[in-house]
Amino acid sequence: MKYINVQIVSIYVLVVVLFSACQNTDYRVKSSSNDYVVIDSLVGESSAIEMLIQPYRDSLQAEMQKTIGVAERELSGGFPEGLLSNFVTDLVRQECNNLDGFEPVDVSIVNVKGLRIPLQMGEITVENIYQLMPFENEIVFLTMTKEQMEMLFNFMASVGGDGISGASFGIKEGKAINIKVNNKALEDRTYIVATSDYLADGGDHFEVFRKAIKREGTGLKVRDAIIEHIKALSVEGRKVNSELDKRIYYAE
Amino acid sequence: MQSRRSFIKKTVLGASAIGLSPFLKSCNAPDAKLTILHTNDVHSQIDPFPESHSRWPGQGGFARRAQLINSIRQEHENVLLLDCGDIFQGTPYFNVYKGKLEIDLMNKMGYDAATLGNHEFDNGIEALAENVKKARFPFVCSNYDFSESVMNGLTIPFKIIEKGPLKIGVIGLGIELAGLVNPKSYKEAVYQEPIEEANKSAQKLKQEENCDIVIAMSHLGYKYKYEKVSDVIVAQNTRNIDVILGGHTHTFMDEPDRIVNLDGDEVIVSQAGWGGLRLGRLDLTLSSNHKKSVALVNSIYHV
Repeated sequence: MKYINVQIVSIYVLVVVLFSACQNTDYRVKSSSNDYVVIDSLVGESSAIEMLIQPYRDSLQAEMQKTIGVAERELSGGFPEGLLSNFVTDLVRQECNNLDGFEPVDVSIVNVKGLRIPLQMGEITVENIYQLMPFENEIVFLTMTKEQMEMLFNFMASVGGDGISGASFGIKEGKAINIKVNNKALEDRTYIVATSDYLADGGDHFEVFRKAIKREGTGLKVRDAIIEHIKALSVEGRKVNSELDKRIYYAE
Repeated sequence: MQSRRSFIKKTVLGASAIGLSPFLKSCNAPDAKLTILHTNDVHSQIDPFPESHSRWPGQGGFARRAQLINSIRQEHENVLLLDCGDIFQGTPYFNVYKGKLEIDLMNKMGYDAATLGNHEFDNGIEALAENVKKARFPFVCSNYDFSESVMNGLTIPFKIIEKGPLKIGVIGLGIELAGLVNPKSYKEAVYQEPIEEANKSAQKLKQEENCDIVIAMSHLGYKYKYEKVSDVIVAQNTRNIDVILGGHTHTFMDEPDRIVNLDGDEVIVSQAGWGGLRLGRLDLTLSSNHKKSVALVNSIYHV
């Protein structure tokens, strides 16, 4: 009799437990298939989303067409130096020296290949600067030794020059000679180089930047520096211009 | 005379074998389906790329992606839409509107959750907090500690989403910010070791919350040639994660990678390129098993 009771109780418990277990079904991945669907015109278009975007697109278009300055003449890139890279590196150095809480910059470097279109003579729009500098590159400060600076200039000489401000050198047999920073020969001290995060990461073969003894981000984008500088020139009634001043030259 | 314990044991086994087998059978729920849609590194590509683009002519765009998502939702019941970070930065839309449009559009498209990419910090952590407040979907960050920052309380370490019969656990893994983001932009945000945090959150979701599946949204990057924590490394060194959806490395894949984890289970590792050029889609069939029922029957011995 006692056993029968126990038996009934245990069956009762089992039924209850199994019922509750059913409600708590445990799933496991059995199989999977995948796709990476190409988003193109064949997909169609959500009109609700398009309607949400349209006013932003229109007002952005208007913003991009705004004139921020005027170019005195066409500024284009070139080697060993160029009007465009001289303009951009000079303004980067100047804008960096306006930043609070940073040491003054000795040299600024922006690669010519990173400046995607020439600036045409005449009115400059925001869109032109986006076309000139489509990348979101941030300006970073690198602290470099005298030896690293020599390596840097020798590298630039080996590729036939590039965008530089604050320094000058001649190219002889693919090497840098008569190196000057702020019109003075290299001294046995550290130098501050302002460049883009892209180059600082060793982009465009600027491997030497990865050896820098210190790196500091500024939060300032190269593009924003250009836009702000041109706007400031306009406020002063000045036009966008630069000169070829033999900062990099062939000595042979 | 047989002992009481062994008598009960036999009774229970007999009962379950004969009398209760119909109950066991009814417990065998049909397979469940889950469709996971994922994007990463959309980088403010609101419009399709221009027709003149050398690599992706006329591809991408939010309005098209939304249309595709709508049609998949009409065809399938259990659809999850996730983004793995770097929503922002890359077109003038972000420079001018500061991320408002991206969040508005993702709200409208019904994203279920997202995690943060490094570029989310580009306009500073204060600006990020404002954008996150506007989102009607959660930002899941399992390894950023925001407790001392303006982002405090604006992200969650994991999220449980129920779709049909399925209980889905979602975690979010962020990349180390130092060296990648200006410290002035992320300020008091603290990056924590992702493997440890992933294990902690996934264990909680699978073992304590009884989630059927755990998905990690990651912005760590698919894999690296040098030593750096990545989706593959997380997959190898964790338990309880079924799927890792990635970002950061802008990886286009033909097939997801399949990595064996610490328990010998397979982890699906996927990533959908960048720029909204692709919509990643993973269709899972999940079968119910009776691990819990069996365990409970065994426990009857102790009655």
